[in-house]
Amino acid sequence: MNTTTRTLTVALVGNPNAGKTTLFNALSGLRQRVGNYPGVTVEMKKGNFTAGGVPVDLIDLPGTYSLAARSPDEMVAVDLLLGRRPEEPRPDVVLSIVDASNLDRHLYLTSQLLDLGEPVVLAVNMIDAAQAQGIAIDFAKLSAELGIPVVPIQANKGLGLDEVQTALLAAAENGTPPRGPTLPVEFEKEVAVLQVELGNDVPVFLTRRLLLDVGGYVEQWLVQKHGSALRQHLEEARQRLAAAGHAVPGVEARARYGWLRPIVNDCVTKPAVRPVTWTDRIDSVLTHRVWGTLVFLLVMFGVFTSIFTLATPVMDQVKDGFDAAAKGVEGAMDPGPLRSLLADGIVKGVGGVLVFLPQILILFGFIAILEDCGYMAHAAFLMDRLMSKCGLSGKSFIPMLSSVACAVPGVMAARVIENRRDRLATILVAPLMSCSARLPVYSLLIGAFLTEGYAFWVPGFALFALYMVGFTVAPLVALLLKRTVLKGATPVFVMELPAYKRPMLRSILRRMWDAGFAFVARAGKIILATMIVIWALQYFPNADANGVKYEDRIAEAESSEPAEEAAAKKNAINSEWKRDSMLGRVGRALEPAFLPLGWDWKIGTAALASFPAREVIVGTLGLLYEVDDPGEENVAVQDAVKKEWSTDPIRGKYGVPVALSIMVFFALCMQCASTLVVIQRETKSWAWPAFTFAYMTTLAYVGALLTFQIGKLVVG
Amino acid sequence: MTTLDQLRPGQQGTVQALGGDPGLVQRLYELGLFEGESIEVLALAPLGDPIEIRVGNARLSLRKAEAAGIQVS
Repeated sequence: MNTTTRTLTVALVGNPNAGKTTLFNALSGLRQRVGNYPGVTVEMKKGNFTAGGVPVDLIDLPGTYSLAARSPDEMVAVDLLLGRRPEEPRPDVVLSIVDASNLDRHLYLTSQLLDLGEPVVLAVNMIDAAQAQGIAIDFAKLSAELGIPVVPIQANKGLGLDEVQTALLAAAENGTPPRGPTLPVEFEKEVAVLQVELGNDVPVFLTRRLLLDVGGYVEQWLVQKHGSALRQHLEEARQRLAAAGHAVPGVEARARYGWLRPIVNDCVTKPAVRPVTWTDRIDSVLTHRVWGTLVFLLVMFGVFTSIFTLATPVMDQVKDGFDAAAKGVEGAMDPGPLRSLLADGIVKGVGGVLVFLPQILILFGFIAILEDCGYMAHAAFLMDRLMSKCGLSGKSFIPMLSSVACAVPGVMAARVIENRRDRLATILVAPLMSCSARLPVYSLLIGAFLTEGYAFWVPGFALFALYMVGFTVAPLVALLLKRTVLKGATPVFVMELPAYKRPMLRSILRRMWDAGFAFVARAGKIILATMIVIWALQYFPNADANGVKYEDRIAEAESSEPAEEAAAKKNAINSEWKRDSMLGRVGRALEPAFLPLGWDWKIGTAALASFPAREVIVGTLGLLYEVDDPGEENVAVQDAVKKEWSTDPIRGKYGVPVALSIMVFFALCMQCASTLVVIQRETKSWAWPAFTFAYMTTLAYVGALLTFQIGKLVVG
Repeated sequence: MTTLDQLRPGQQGTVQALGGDPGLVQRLYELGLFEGESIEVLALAPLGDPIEIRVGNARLSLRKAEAAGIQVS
């Protein structure tokens, strides 16, 4: 040990499905946090523990098959390993985790780690599963031939953790960097020439990657920095290598597998005939044309209905609870801005954030189960063809399906998509899927205009058609985005299908907790702030033209007799207040823009007020149409809308086209502050939520305009 | 000699050569698809694409367009 107080930095690296997260959780327990690395959209966790009295910082790098970085995200991991990130010191030891059943494939990455110039410790995971398949590994021999310490572990049972910690300490102390396979002399010569051109700022490791990774991130970065001369030099060097029989990228694979294969053959004994595993048996059912499809439909139906049926009662309770709390605040305080801020701004705002929690927890519980047991990749395999038609891949299916319940968990679920452009495209179109917050708007207007006097199937068909708006527009927009803003080289769709296994309760609960915490703690604050701003725009000014406070006028009106007259007076004052509020003034100023949609300023203002959440339009319309306590009484608002519109020259005649125009607007618009904030969280940029808001609002406006204008022609 | 996308479920082969985009070839190497490695086609997705194959002890999904660059015998 250099000093007893120095903290060791250890980087944990492994293939996806090597059990990396399980080992990370087992080593660091609950002492972990999400590291903040600017420019990375994937999350990297940091944990800490003490090994033999020495504090250790453990960094969990995203699962990867190699150090050939293709994106900024992958480059951050490589830079971190080379000590080129300002946030972290260069790792003292690299902990490489591999799957015992797939040793040769997983050791490919390990052999790249040997080139970093840092001590490497190898943890061979899931030895029980390998033993069950008759695979025996001589760990001492493996350690001697690879030249690094090797520790057999079972991360899910916590076996071998002490040995890992001891090996990490010893490696940090002795600190001899290992040596990996050597590449041909011709290759090393080209690297030396390139190194002179690049100078010493670029470590040799990256110069080798520059030459090996055609079109990789290192090439993009350095060519941009050094200009086209470097590009030409690279092309010539690669041609020379190809002429010498050492073409990239094959030269690296030949060197590494050529070095690894004999070692693995020496140290691993396998049965001559591969035994049939549980994964094989399960897979033969899941890939069956009939049974496999049936299981898939059942699983998806189960996930989807659970989000609705399990979450809805809890969400209703959350809503009712916060409404009751708001009422309590109103009863306990004197009228005034503070009371209104507390009741209508903060209490209802916090409720508006927490109401998403049940859906997020349930969806992420399911995602964790599906990923843990290996079905997630299978679902992506089944749906890939369908999703490829809109330029995406099978991995976008679950996020899109989830968005039919709610775009907030749907956007968060897009984390499973590694390809950056595909992930962005999925996130940007997910809010177009018809979510459950649109239902109150649809049921209000379909109930008011398309039920009485229509055939029994008309309301249902109208609802179905509105859902189809989202289902057809979302893929079209995705295709358009992939051909324009998110254009780029076709990503590689080769995907590993992990072995099926029983999910672990602890890791499922952990995923649910992480997702819930990320939403409430990080997105919640901004969502709440947005809600308070919209509240203020509707509250102020709180006195009429004569300087009399609305709250005083309401108090006076409430004392008049009989009760009906008091209620009518109160509702009239509330409506006047809304009209003259800042938001109402904006709505009235914008009326010319609403007229082509068949809307008056009241509908326009209610649409503006629904920026925090779509369903708010119902309550706001109720207030503007002088309905008492509109939050609960959908029917009362329906009657008020019908009554109010019947006396109007446009909406009296074109009630149905106007109702359709409002519904099409809400099918396509981005009136949901929570989704916008979550998009910002997931893309780490305000540009993408701004873009989403702009394109969806434009779509919604054009859609509503066409609907009303065509509807007017049909009715007229 | 044929290409991987031509194999039917249940058929086996040995990888002879990898072709296509260098990024794709590199990823195939990283996933253990290497000249001389034996592979087996396990299944075809119900919609006709992609295919599921076994390489070593791992199962991979790849699109037919990607499999078309892999020469097998």
